[in-house]
Amino acid sequence: MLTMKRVVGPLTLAAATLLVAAAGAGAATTSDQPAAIVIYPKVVYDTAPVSDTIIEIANTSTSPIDLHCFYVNATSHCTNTGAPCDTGLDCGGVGACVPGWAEIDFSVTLTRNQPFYWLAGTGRNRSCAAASTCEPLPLNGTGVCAQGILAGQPCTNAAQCGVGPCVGADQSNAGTAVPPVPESLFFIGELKCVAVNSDGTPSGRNDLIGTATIVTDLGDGLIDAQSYNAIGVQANSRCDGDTALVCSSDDDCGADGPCVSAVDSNNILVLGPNDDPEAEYQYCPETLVLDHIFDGAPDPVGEGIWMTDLTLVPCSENFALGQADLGRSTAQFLVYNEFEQRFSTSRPVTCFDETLLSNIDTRNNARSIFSVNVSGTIAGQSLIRPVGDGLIGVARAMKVVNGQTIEDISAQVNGDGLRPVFAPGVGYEIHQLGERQPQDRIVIP
Amino acid sequence: MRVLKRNPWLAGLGALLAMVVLSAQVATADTSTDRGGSIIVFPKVVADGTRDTLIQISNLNNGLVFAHCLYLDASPENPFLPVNPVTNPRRCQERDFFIRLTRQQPTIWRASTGRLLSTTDTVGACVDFDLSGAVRQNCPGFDPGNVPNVYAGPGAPFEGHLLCIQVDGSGAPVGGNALKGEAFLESVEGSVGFPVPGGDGVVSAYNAISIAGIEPDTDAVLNLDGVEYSACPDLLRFTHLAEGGTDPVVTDYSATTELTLLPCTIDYETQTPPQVTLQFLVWDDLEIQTSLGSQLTCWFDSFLSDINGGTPWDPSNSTTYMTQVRPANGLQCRGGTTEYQSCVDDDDCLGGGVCAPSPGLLGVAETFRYIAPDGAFTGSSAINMHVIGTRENDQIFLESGVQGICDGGLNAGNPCNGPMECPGGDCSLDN
Repeated sequence: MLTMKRVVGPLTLAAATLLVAAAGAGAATTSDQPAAIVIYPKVVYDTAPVSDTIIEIANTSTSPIDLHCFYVNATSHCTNTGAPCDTGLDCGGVGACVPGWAEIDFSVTLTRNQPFYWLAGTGRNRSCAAASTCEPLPLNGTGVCAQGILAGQPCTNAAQCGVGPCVGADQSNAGTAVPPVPESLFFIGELKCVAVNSDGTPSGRNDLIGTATIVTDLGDGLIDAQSYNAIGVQANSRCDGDTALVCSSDDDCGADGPCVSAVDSNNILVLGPNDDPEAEYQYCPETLVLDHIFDGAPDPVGEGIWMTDLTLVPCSENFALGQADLGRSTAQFLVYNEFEQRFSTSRPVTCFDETLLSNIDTRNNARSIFSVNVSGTIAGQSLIRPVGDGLIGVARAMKVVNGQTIEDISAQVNGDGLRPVFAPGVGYEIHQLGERQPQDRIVIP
Repeated sequence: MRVLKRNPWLAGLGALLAMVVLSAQVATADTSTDRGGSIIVFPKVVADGTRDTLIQISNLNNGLVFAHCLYLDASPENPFLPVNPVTNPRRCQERDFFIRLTRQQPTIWRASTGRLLSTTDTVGACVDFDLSGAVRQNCPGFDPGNVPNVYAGPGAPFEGHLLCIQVDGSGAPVGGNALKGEAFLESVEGSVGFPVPGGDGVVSAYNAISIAGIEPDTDAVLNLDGVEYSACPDLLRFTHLAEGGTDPVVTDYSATTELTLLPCTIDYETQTPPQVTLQFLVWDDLEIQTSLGSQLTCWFDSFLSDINGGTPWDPSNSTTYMTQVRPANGLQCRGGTTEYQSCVDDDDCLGGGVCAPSPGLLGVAETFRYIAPDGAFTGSSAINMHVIGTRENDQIFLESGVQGICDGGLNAGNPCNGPMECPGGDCSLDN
């Protein structure tokens, strides 16, 4: 366990005081409200078994919205073959399995109230090669006939109305082109989408909602599907007369009004606390709170044991330079079991981290503080605090129904290097606590 | 096992958590699925012999926390027939219990068996017991209390919701926002409804919906008005695959989505089944908008294909849809003897009721995959809904056990459970 070298207690207490003062306005990141930035921490594409991620994103407003989206390819590769890998054993024991960080970006336009989707493995564009699952673009939005006997009926041009104009039929997805993820065998990474103006500058429109579903075909009539809501980061509005005040309407500002968007036109998106005048977007959480079943715990409902994996991504990222110079953190874990006993550990997170809980602190899953063998109870609560850049993430709880124990799984992961396939599983969002004081920054091109 | 050394971060975290307790007065005014609350709601709890629900709740605070939990059984009167509001209505029967959680304590129980309060635990596993013919379960750890079992056999399934309210030791509601929870819906191995080759394989999860406590008072009427507790959302939205449409990943399979809703205004005192007229707006990816309605009586749980025949979610039009649901505009009686009936003003509400807007809604959606036309369900996943706007008019009526008499005002002399039933007066308990 790392020894804290700085004086944490008094500083944290000061931060807590600021939390009390500022918690009234603003909402932190959110997985259930429309936002200006949506983050999908876990995007998966695989060929053995067949697995892909359905990315759903929707515009909740009546105006079209442009998005600038970024895939982060965090797939590891062998230094000797360049093939994707999970551990060095995948590289024949000769090369090393080195984590990667590379980004690709693309644009999406959503029309009014439009739900939109694509598959990570195939993308979506006008000339997509994959057959039945690739739908054509652009999708031209419909308007409404303004006059005549067809008044109120949907239309795409005036000729369809006979009399009068077709109002509102001017929205289109033209300009949208979603590439497939840049790996043909196996991809793991994240997706971030930012609401922008037509010139590419951030727009601060809190109109986006998103959901991801990781679907896996396990054969023999068994499908696994794990869904989670994308994490939204809402843009702030601030009182023009006192930029330390976050507002939602002119009434909130009173004499310090009006209430104006805090998002400027430069390419640095600043996430920070409400009382920070520079914070254009809501803050990342001070602490993540993960409820989980301890790894290896037998399912209280039926056969099998539970395993949970945790995916953490940084709140800060530099997409402009395409370098992983932001997004470094140490995640400190405090783990409680049902006896109120607590354990702690920490783990560095560089750009992207996906791991079984019981591999956070050890390679021997059965001896981990996250395993039922150590905790002794079924349910656990883990507090995750980032030191460095902020962190957000999602969790997946998965059942192992083939009779394997956690010892068997540990041996499999450490022995032959095969990636165990756990199914069925569920995805769920991680709870948040507190207001992170340091700023986080997302730099876009 | 690691030796825990004194960690200054722990001391700081403890201070942070203590300050969070004190910050309840400045909580935000929206429901949430990723922050703690003083009320947490699990909209979908199923224990019917084919599926069961794991309930996980944690205490976010550094102190002892009590919670008053209420199950609402919305299973039909005749469990072997479909729900029909006239011939086979939902039971709408509540059952409540109390739990206590020590600092930072997580707890878990299986809805069908509940969890026994026991001093003899098996380390690392829950164990089933036959207690006078009822299957109960004992799990390791500090037992939160005697959590009841909700499933009593094939003739007594359970489907409904669970709601837990943070209270003090006397049972009075308090703030603090110490509660968070998750629900895991699982098929039971070998069950008839969800047969999956090789064993059970249908598992979904969702986060409990948190309602922040701001300045709750100690009476049995919880006002979700942005003053006492956070307000409920004005409307819910979610995206999903077309009803009966092909799954884009596993193209041999089709998808169907089940929507579960409950009202934000619930009367646990009288257990009058809440009635809400639902308004749906549906958009496909060409922005074509369709509207339709349905009715919530006690609890709403329906596949989209059973709402207007599923027409608005036609897979031939679009692969994905965005659906919005909200209560219809209009007023309903709240409290009194004509509860949930339409009204224009308070005069229309007899027995001390008041005329108030329709209740807000909370809910989850669960998608299943299957081989058309009627293959077994597999590959299920649940999501929480996105919320937009707020409604400051909802109330939760708990069992007060006490009835007063309106002292003055419009309903002077009528029985009452709280001051809101006595416009212009007060509900006097001195009787």
